Amino acid sequence: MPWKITKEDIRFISLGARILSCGGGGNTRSMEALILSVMKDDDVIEVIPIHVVRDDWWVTAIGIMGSTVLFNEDLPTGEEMEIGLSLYEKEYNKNVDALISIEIGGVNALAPLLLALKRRLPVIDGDGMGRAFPELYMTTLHLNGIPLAPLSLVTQDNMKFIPSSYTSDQAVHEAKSFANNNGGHSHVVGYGASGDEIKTSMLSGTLYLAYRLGKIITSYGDGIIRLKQIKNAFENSIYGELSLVIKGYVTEVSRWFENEVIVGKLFIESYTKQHNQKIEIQFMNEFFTIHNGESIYRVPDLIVFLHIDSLEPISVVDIQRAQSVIVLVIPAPNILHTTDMLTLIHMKESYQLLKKEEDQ
Amino acid sequence: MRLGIDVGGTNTDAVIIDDSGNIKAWSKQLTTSNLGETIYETAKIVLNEANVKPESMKGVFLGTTHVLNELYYPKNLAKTALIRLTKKPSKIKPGLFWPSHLSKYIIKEFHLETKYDFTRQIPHYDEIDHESVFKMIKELEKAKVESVCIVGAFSSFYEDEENNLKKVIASHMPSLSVTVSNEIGSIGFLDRENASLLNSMLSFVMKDALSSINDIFKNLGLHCPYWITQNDGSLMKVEEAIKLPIFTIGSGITNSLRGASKLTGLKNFIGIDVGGSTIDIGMVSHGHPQTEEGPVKVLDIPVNVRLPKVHSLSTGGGNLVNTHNGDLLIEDTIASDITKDGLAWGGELWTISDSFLKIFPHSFKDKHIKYENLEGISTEDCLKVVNTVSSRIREKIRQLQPKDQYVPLVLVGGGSPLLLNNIFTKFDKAIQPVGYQICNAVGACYAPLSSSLDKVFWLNDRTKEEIVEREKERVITELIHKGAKPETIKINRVEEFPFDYLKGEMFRLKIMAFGDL
Repeated sequence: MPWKITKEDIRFISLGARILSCGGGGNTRSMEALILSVMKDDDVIEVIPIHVVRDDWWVTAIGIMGSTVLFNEDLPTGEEMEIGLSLYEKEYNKNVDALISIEIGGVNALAPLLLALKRRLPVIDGDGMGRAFPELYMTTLHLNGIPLAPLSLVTQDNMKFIPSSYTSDQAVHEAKSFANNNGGHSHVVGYGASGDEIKTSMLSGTLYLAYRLGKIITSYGDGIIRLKQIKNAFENSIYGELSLVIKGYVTEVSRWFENEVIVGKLFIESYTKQHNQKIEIQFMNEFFTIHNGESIYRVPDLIVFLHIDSLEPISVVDIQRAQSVIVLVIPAPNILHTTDMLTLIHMKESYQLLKKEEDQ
Repeated sequence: MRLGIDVGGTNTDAVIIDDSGNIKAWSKQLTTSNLGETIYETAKIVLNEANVKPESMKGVFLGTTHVLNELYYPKNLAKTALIRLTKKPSKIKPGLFWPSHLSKYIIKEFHLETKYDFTRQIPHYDEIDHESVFKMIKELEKAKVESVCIVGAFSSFYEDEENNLKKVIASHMPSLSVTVSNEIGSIGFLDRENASLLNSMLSFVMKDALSSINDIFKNLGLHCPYWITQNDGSLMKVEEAIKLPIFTIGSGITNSLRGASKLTGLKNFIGIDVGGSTIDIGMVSHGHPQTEEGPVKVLDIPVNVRLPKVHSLSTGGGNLVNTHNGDLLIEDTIASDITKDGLAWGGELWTISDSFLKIFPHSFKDKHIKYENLEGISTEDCLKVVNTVSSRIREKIRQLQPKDQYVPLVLVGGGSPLLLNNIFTKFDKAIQPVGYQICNAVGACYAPLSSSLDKVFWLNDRTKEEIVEREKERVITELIHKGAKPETIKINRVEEFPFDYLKGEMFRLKIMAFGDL
């Protein structure tokens, strides 16, 4: 069913996207503020579900890459994405018919919406990650052979076009160095493909799911009922069956550096005494693994922290001792579990990181 | 000898403590709308009662929740103009996530182009574009703006541009108060802008409350230095508090926790302050009340200032109880003066205190309480109230208790006798120190001096260690300059944060140090 995003829906999508971000994906506040500032009360953004996407459309993915800390200091003007898309269309000599989010987890869920509004383009209900991953290439689009380039990059005072002759690896390298040299972050238009190709490589229905999740969380009603509704929302999606790992409070958080990245672990103790359960969770950019005695959950499955009363998602940056939380695990869509995808997201290296810590 | 004064929403307390830490005298007065007068009266009474010479006083320490109350119930906020110093104007509107009773005070918005580009490291800063500034000043005058807030992108890297603009505006409009965001918070534009705007709006509040403080203390014969306590529990000068009122909004609970530490001699405990409208629960470790910074919210407004880490339950002694369709409700509204309005005192309002008194008579040693007034409310309902309140408190305590060692509970605040020996017993290691009613004023007396830094540095051919050492020295020098005894200075924390995508070339450094007067 095609649907239309209204101004009121923006905060639901923003909130839901933070759930799917698994604690990472950056702060959505600037982007949410930008859209709310620009959008008029009667404006709508058209959302196209997978079965309505036309095969002959040309679709590009939209996102923001780089340091979220710097992005939150460097207020976007609100023009960047339009400039980026115009550059893309001009240099590549191709008109874009629809947009899709690179990453549904976090700020990038909102990234295509403003552009869609201003250019009157539809947004496809889906994305390239199904959650948040730390790198631009960790997408199912890349996995399915959609090249990242041509790619247009735009910051407040610079722009760059990377032509289709660049391989995806080269394009990633160029994009990173452009971001590094231009304030640490950049708006990105890339992963162009036909509607036909996008349909077979995207994760479908994630935008609607984000909206649903946000709406449920902000609805009145007691926690148990809302939690049940969250479970139902996931059941009607491409994700696996949600399980509640623990309801408890954070007893300890520690953070340290590993290869110039902040990593950390935390412990949660259960409320219910009979189980006397205590679990350990590790995190990097996102919540990463759960050790729960006999069972282990890990990326790419979604590890989600919610505040125990409000059910608002909590990020790896914000998690603190003595917070009361609900931890959920939602099995990732099957495609994220394929060997190729696990290689793409460096699960091997990540295991090593884990091991190193255990040796300490 | 020290004089501590705590100006709360309902009561103002004063206490005199001698050099060995004994309480010589204390007094409690209702807070009136004239803050200066209230402070004068309360201080006068306590000085008379202690029978000490004002000359023997080494310092006056003032804590207040006045500024926070002003945000809830504005009476004296300034009409504020925002000036954003960014490369290009952003379409993001200021005050977006604010309650309307506050956002309406943002009456003007300007954009000036920044000359600073942090990626080039060296500012291309010639001089201010005087023409645009003049034009802006004309508009400020026309709009009868009462306060100005300057927020520059990356001002935590480079503060000169904000400060220079402030100077220019001040030279044209000397009576206007100007907030610069580099004095308020660190990286994170919108949160810093929010905090700076709030600070700007609060310009009159501290000024009006404290401008007469000089004369008040002079009239009392007090010629010693005096200080205001801030969010992290440390001291600031009155001039600073007038300039940076946002830093005082959380000082009440911090003072209370520090007071609890002094009154009990404990360094590690969970403090429970039972007040009229809230029960605040916080943690003291190694003698310092714990604080947190970002993401914190003040009235739902995200800000990046340091605030005490407290869990506030809206079940204070004065909260009203009602039955609605058979359900028992604890309301957010409170009795403004429980000793007049509470049922037990002959009033008309059923409060949480009344419910406790029904179940646990004689908790308060107050001869004005008439227990027959409580006959109209059902024991069953009161028991429900008591159980609800106590289970909420117990839940919070359970979460805060460190796992390795059980720390005691310290009950303070006027309402705390309701809990002691009723809900919390010796078994919980619950303590209610003598002076529990004036704990905030006691805590203010012992507030330390602090100096902190939260800035972003480029390495520029220096090592990280060099920068950290240099900045540590700077923080310590500043503390000594403020009047701290060098031997008491302790660096409380040093934290480094790298920036991903800008590998190792720059880092954010946070240093916090405390020292005693």
